[in-house]
Amino acid sequence: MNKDLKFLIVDDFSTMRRIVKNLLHDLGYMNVTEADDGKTALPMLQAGNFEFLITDWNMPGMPGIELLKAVRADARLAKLPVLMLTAEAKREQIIEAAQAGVNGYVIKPFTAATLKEKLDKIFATLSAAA
Amino acid sequence: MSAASDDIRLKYAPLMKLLAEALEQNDEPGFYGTLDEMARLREGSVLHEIDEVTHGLEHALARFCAETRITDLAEKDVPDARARLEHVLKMTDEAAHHTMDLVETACAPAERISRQLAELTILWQGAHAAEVPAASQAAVSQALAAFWTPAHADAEQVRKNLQEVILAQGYQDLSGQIIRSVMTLIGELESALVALIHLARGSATDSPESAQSHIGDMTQGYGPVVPRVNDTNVVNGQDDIDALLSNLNI
Repeated sequence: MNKDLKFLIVDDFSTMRRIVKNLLHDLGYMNVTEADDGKTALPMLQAGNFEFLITDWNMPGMPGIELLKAVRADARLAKLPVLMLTAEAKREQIIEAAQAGVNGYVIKPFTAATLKEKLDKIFATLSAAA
Repeated sequence: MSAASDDIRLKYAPLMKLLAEALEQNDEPGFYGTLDEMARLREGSVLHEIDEVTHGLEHALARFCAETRITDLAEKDVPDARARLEHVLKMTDEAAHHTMDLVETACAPAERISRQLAELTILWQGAHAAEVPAASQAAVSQALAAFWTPAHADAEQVRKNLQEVILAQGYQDLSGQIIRSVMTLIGELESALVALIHLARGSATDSPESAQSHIGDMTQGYGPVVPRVNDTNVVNGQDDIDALLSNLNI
């Protein structure tokens, strides 16, 4: 997979952003930017040629599910791969995210292997569709 | 004579005088006019009483809402908050131990690499000394050959543990979310108590905030699962999510 892929990590906890950034670096992805909620992330996405979005759900301002819906509603961002990385565990929330067009859902706490597996799965699906 | 009857006299005596005069003078319109005026006066005080009763009812209702919220908070939300904080305590305890375990298990391989490198250095220096017996060259080669594979495994173990240490810090996000929900609850408890104090003093009639707890909803998110607090209809780990998503073709 292209290691120059441009990632945006959205989480209101800086510790979690740092963890995810670290794991992405370990996987060879060095082009990683951070945002602390949906409201900050959306204009960055609209302006910044991001190629992959990893977002938390529960954030003040704009929660991740709203960000996902806003991304899918924006013609230029509609096809952006989105991985939800969250502690939200209610079945109806996972279904809601799926219906809103999420590409993957990882529950916190997670392992490096799970993150890699889900990223690879999304890449595989995308390249099969391309 | 009481103040109340003074008040009645003051209000009605002139009208009664007019009424009597109108009757005496056979002034029918005057009589009925005065009677109507007396009725209006009476209605006015009835309305005033209704107003007071309504006001009292509103006050009681507001007080009831405040007390209901306080009851909810005391009976459900405060024990919930305690369970949430207990969970945070457990989570931070586990994370701290997990981190220390990882560091401790990384120490042995790190020390082994360090010790073996020190031994190899001595061998290497000996082999490169001015007069070199061929035997010591062979000893260095042998020692190096025995070093590479286990050293690589040890270094890999250290690297893996360090990565795990980073991941283990995820507890800060999870416990932070739970602490934030408890802070919201304390805020609510504070405003409910303040509302109740105001009502008790009779200084405000504003009804307290809605009786619903503000800790999480579907869109905002509920935060991490806390056993016995918000663990209904939740998935059981990543495998459960994967199965659910695979049913939805994701």
